[in-house]
Amino acid sequence: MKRTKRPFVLVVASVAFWGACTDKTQSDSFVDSDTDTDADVTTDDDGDGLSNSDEESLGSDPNVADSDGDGWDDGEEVDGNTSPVDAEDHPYTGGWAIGDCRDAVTSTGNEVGETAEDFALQDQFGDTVHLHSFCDRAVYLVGAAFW
Amino acid sequence: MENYDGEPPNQEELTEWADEYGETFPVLSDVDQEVALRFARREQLSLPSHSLLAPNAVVLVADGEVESADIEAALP
Repeated sequence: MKRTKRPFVLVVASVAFWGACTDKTQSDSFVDSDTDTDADVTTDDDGDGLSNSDEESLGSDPNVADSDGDGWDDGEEVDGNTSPVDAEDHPYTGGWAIGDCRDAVTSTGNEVGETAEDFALQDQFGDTVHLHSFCDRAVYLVGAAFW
Repeated sequence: MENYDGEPPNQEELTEWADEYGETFPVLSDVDQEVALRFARREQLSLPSHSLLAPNAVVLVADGEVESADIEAALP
């Protein structure tokens, strides 16, 4: 007898899928808070690149692309390792990437071999730049003056 | 960095300076030389000053001479 196990399993799987999803609102795991019949885990109502489900986890507004009103869409903020719910925390206008390790840096001092303290200084674009934003790379600091 | 009057530069001055020298890295206003003094030797400012940090902000050179080998060692 010819073995037909693989196609058979596929057919059963499809049947099971349809059976479970015929009425999406009846599924225990299906969440559709805006009742558009699309699951929150895949729906992105505000088009900011984050699903409604992810926005719920982050505390951002699934119906507003820029929840904290800082000029950066929530998806851009998450991609840039900044908070979509803190207007003071957003990607740098200059385009310098922010390391996802920034909050894990623990300062020990400013002598050789120690972990330097963070700083927050204004850059040429008006943004406040933090040293620990660059935790994933080497930093060369040059002090200069206009005069 | 400070301006001609010894004051922290404003954003316009920072932008002008960055444009003049084609600087694409962050150009920062170091109010009261707060950061420069952190790495200064015996709290004496040197200009220009050079400090090098490895990833995770580990200090490799504090207000000293940075050699190519130091930079290579600092790269992740």
